[in-house]
Amino acid sequence: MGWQESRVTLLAPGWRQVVEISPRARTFGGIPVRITRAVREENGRAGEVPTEAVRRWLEQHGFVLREQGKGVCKLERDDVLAELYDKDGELAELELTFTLSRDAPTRWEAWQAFVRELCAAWGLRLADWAAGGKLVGPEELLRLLSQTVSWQDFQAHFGWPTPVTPGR
Amino acid sequence: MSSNPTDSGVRGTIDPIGDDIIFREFRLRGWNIDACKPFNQAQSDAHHPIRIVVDHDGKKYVLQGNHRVAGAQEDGLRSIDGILYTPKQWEDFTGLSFIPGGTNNPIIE
Repeated sequence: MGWQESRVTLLAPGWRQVVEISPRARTFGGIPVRITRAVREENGRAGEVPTEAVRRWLEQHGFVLREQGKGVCKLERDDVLAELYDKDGELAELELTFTLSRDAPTRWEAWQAFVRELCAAWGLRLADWAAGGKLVGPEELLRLLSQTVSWQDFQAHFGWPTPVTPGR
Repeated sequence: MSSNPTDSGVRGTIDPIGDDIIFREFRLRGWNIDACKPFNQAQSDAHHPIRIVVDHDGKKYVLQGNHRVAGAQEDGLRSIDGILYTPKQWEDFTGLSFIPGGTNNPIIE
């Protein structure tokens, strides 16, 4: 992730996020970096969300394929990059990276609406890594994005308001 | 200097194992780290080069390329290239002043 980006992970049904402490990598103040991985739930059923179907859905919503690799494809639309991580044809997780700019708050509503629609279409949930991988709803998008240092830097420099999660 | 005329950074080398590396991301993704291995310098430079701010204590803050540097650390590499900045150069390049730990660190349990 670049200095002007903020990112969230969405997990498909039947998958969960595990959070491990990096044995070596440290962030500011000596705090260990957390490493996250998607793993299948013990009772998760295979084939819940076909990766190809999600890819087509994104293309129908204006995303353009940028890169196709082994187990991952990347699609982009304006200031949003979607990375689909595939396991045997099934979507395991979807990473969304949002490009930050001075005027990004004017985009928040559009970002929120897109993630709400995406989650509703495929049953995806956002992973809150700071809460040990707890899964939360799309209404938490801006709060999760604001956990990154990049977001906090932009917020401080450009006087962004603090995102408010509905119902909190 | 970097090849970008608006970029005030200087191409240089870091030691992922021996240097005092500070990651700016609190959370890295295991799959992304794995995808960066083995480290490929040409590929790293071609897309978004690794960008590092070096403070007065010699601490090296990874502003871009956190997963690549983490992968290099895991593989025990002792030398990778990136674009190095002083805090002032970083401010000139991005228009954002450099604050080592961010402005409002999230609480990590």
